[in-house]
Amino acid sequence: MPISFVGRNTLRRYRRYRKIYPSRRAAFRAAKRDGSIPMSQHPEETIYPGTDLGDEYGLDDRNVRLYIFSIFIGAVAFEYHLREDKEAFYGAERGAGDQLPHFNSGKADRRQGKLKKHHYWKK
Amino acid sequence: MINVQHNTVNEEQFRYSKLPAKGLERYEHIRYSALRIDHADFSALLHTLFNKILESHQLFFIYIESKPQTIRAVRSHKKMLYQELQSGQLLPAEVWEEELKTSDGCSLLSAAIQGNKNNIPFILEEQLHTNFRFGCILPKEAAFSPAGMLRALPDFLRPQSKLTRVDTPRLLQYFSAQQAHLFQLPFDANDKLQFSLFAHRQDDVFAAVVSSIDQEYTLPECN
Repeated sequence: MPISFVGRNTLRRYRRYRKIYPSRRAAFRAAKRDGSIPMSQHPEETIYPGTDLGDEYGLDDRNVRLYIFSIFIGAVAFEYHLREDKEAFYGAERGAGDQLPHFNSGKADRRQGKLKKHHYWKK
Repeated sequence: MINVQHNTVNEEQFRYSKLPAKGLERYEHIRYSALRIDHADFSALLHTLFNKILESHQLFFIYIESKPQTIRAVRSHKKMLYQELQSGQLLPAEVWEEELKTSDGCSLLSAAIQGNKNNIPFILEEQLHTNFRFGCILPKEAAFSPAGMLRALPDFLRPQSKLTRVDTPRLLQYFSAQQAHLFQLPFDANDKLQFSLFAHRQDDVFAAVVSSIDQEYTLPECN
């Protein structure tokens, strides 16, 4: 069906599912590409839940790890967060709202408090 | 609505710090948290608090970049808030900038902005990004030099951390002598908005402002 004839919700779902990648590696690379992080760049830090830093960053058992990269805006270095989350089941009818394992990424704005970009992969 | 928690400050909160807890008892830790869907409430709380305290206090926002970088002429010239100053969103009189040289021949950019009625909306909207590390609220009559604070910043950073992270107990000890209050916006991985306020217990004017904020925004108790 041409995109112009589908409803808004369908289109939203379509856009979302376009971000399902065949593997974790592919999703990770796509998340880096979306954040304009060079493929060869390694994270500055990897933080795990259950550690002191993990507690400080509010990681819990829904999260697997948090990668922190450095990006540059002008000549100033900023943190860029890439968080790996486990798959989630919410128990709704027909699995509505359930999520595949994914990366959430973005410039961690302290007031918005959300990593907006999602990159899913099939298990 | 906003969830408000009042706690005492103790060493347990800062497991990274090896500093003795001397002076921390002078502070009360107030944590305001909201879900992301309550984003408008959270913004309103910050607006109300900052606008109220400006009548009796000075307000400063401190920024430090996330990692030291190689020294370059352009970087040293532009520093941290070049764009904001050029566009007139901030005025030179309310901004202090410093390039801190590190031992490995790199430098760390830092900046301080003094909050006032005109720039608070812009700061809250645009300047609470990842490089915002903490803010301080001082009585109007307190002598405080933002430039001096920026030069002393390396003493308030955690030495074992690769990325820039501030040592909050050290900051509290520094500010307690001036009866200053400290605030931070801790990052939460699971989409909660948080505002952490370390309020000095001896400031009655500030305590009155905080209690009025609590009354206005606290989640009503359910039976």
